[in-house]
Amino acid sequence: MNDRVSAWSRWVFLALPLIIPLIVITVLIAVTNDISLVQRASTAMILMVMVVGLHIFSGNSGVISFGSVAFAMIAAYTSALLTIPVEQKPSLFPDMPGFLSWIVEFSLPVPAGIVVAVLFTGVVAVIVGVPLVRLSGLSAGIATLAFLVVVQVVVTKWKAVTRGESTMVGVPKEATLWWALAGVVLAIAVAALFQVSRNGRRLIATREDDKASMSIGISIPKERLVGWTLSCMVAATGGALYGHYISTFSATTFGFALTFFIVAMLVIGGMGSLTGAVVGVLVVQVLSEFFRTLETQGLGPIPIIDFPGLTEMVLALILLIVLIVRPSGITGGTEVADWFARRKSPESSAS
Amino acid sequence: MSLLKLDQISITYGRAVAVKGLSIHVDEGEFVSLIGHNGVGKSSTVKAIAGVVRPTSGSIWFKDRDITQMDSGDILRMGIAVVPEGRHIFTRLTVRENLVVGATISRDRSANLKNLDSMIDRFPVLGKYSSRMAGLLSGGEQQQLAIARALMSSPTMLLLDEPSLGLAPLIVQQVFDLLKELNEQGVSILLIEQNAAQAIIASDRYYVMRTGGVISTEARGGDQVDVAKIEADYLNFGTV
Repeated sequence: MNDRVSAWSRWVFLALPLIIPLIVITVLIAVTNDISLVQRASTAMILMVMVVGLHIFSGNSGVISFGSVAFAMIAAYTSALLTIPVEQKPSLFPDMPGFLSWIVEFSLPVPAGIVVAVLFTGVVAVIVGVPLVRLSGLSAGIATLAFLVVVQVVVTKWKAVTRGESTMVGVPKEATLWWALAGVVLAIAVAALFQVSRNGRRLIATREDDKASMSIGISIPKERLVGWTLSCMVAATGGALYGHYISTFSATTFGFALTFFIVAMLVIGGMGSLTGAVVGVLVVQVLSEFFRTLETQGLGPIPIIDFPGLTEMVLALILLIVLIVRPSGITGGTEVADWFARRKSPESSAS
Repeated sequence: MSLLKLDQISITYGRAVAVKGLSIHVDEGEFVSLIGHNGVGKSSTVKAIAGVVRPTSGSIWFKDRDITQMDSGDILRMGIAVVPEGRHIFTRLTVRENLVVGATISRDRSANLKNLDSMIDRFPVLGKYSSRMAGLLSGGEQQQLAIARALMSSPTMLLLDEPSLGLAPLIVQQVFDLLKELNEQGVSILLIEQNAAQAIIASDRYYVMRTGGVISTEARGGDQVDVAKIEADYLNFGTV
């Protein structure tokens, strides 16, 4: 009983300090009605869904994955295929193979499309995850990256279904700032719930000490698979939202650049904590928007800095500095709740 | 009838022989220690019992079942809990979370919580610091936590690999007293130790291991043992 109460209160303390400021910021941005600001905020929050998704697996298991964008891509394409209006489908997909011809015959409302896409991606994640979760360290990084390449190649070559290298068009553009906010709130709530759950704690235990967790009967592949699947499904939510937000995309949209961005955000913020995932997105996005503005239109008295690639270079530099100076990220793997706990109990000095 | 029985166990890593033809047994309710110097194969023996390494020959029996080829999880489910060398607590989980994950093998929530309460009764210091990161505990407290975590699976037998490692002599005494108390409450104990004197006094019986895992001595432990004499013997064995 006690344990359950403490888990719920930990969940609240973990999620609310992140969710409430995000809601406040979103409302303030919506009030300004500045289109470019709303756009930037929406993109940032959709990226945040993907970063939080990556954190669920990598943050809690300590195993890096470069594959979360692949799952975002699968979900974006799935949801697009399901929701493009029926009238447009025959002309967009004239060569749809027979076993998928049913897709051309109907179209789902966007929310339903997203849900189905996320569930489908979850199934893919389980299939891919069974062998993947047995890897760690460098081999896990390489294998997940390889999976990203596989999905990219399939999407570029399977013209009949994915339109190949051509852009996916006709995707209902329904996602707004509020959808993005809903996605982030859901992602954070799910990630926090996982972190305080028994499965989450066991996964963290395997990250902290694999030998000790085996000694108490924790099955490392099993716990990793649970985290992996959940992680891929949250990343998929981000991908599907992104698809319905930008409405035209291709395989390159979900490529190495986005992967680098997402991993950089998580590492800069602090891979070990949910707070780190959120902080990382905010810091990186604010900085990169700042430099992008400098690059393209100048900022107030500062003239345009005509230096293509400035944003990426600055980001790479920040990533390097963080890796050298503070390898555990800005938050150092702590949560907002920890900061309060530390302040509230001054008697808790080590004995 | 023995609870745990190792029958002619040999363990090799590539061409290196860690243990050769080791036979020991622990009876139900017994407190047995296995002592020996660095590198005589004590930890390999622990790993073999726990199912982490496979012996190259010989067999291991527990409750009359051959557990030689069993997975570590199944061995734990059969009732052997391991307190690994160097404690291996989860430093960045809280004390309470460390205990909760210790009950992984059981799905019975209410029994687990009851077990958790009884651990906190038995180890008041763990109750006091239950929401603190386990890494902030002192060495002795961490050792108590490691033992309590192992007990969360309600084992019939506790297997400890050098619990005295890195602890002050007074704390070591407390840990051994605790083990004795647990033993009196029915948990069988196999204690692997370098710290010969204190281990021998605490235990009912002890074995001395020599290089390659050959048993040199099997003798009765307890308070009345002449520790000075054992240490002299023990040192002799160690310097062969």
